[in-house]
Amino acid sequence: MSDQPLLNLSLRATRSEIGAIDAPQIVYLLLNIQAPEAHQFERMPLNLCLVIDRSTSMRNERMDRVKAAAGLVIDQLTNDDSIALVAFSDRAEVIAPAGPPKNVAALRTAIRGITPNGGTEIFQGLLAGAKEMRKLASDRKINQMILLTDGHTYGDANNCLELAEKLVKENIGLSAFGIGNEWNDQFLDQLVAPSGGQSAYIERPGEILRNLQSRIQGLEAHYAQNVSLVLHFPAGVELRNAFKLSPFAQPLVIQPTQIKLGAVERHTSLTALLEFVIQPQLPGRKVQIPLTLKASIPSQVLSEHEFKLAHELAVTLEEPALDPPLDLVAAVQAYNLYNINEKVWDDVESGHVDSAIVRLRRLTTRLLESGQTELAEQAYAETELLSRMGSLSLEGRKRLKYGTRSLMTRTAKLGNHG
Amino acid sequence: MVKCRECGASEYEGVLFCQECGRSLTETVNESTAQLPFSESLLDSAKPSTGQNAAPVLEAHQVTFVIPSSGRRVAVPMQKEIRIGRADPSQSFVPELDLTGDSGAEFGVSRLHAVIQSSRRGVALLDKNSTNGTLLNNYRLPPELPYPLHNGDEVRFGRLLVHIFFE
Repeated sequence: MSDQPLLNLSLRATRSEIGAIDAPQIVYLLLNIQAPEAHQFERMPLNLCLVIDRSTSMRNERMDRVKAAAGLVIDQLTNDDSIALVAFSDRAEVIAPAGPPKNVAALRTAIRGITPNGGTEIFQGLLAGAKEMRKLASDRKINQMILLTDGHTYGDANNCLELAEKLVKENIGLSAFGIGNEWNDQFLDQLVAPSGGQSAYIERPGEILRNLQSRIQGLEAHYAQNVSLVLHFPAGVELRNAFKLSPFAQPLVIQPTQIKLGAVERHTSLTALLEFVIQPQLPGRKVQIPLTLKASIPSQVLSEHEFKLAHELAVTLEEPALDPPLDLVAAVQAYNLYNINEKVWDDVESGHVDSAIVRLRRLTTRLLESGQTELAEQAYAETELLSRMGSLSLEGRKRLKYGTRSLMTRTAKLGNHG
Repeated sequence: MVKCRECGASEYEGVLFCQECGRSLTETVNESTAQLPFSESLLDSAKPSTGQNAAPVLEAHQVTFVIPSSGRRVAVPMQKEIRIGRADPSQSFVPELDLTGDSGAEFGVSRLHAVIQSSRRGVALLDKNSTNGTLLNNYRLPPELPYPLHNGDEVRFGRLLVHIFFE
């Protein structure tokens, strides 16, 4: 093992001082985790399963594009990898059992044979996929199930979430791509959260291939896996929110003892924005925000290795300095826009249309100020729709949600051009 | 608590943007980020400084300008503000980086063309509303907005190419 650190960690904060005031205060941290350049990189074999929605709504271009993308994924794999293909509607069918992609022609024939028909029961697909994945899953592989769906699942969402929790204990990750506008974005976010996977919006069928290839390339580049942040902070320090900015934007779920951050890819930082609430402190004190990370690095034969870093806050009687780095400010601003948009939908769903209209107007203004003309136009169109019809378009919901989300990944590039 | 001047919402100290209306709660933050942080065109066209340190420069004690067309290399100690342009003897104005001898006028460099600012937030480049603009890694900077600099960044003042290195 070389003298190089196993992971390059850095932490930047909006402040290093807080006031000695009788109210909570907020500190944002930007956590950056990078694979060290000098370490020998070993591509881990992939153990994949594509779980393809073949419900009736997938017919025509959607299914044609999914089939083409699945074919190209197979071309990307080596004989050390393994792949399984599952198609599901209201029941699941194993199109190709788990195995190395030796007979590409047979796999292509199997893919061509998928015919759209029936409803959407995602659990059926995931269950059949899990069974296939388990046959060849190992700690020396990147085990990932990739769901491609265009619809809501009915009545089995909890089963899906329970299965995702189980799979993560077996070192099987989950990513989910929603095609079109009809699928449930909150559900897909929850589904991928246990493993720190990716859920993404594919607006047009033409984008399926790019998204899937990019995900496979990310998996091939895994350096550290199962990276988690242990939630153990001193009294008076509480993590309130967490969001992953890079390699892809993803809300992070704060579990009782940890946050699953996902994987560190070669050449791409894992960056997360962390929002801490600091309860009132006595002047002159130093408050530590300790971060303990756990990660497995297969190429170094390390499992659940611990990494520690900390940020220190000085408690001052004077006006505390607030001079944050620009990229951190940008990340917080983008996160704020994303949250405002989320509140719009919460308002609409709880019947507070007037409040939603006000929020959307404000969001439009902020997006315009930030130079996000296209998103601002979408927000404006949705405001009009909401004022006239009392409802919003599904398309607008997805575009604004994933559009504001992608702003966060862009801000990560400000601080990390890697 | 901090009160938002736009919508009146109360936020904890340290919150940077109002969670109700998105307005900046810190004037100094607002001034430098109104358009900067994730302007679409800006991020799309800003290129990585390949082969160089990719992190934004947070502090430096010296900045070195390399001007390929004249072969000149100019080292300037880091200070709060480094002015870049062409000297104007009539106004007794001499910028810290004087590009007069590098055919600055022919390349369209304004007298006060741009400045490099150093603060606790890092080192940033601002175009000073120059006639022919400033390109950072091929992206045209909006005037008067700071943009973080990286070691090895490629800047064009008008059409004059300058590489910037920090120590």
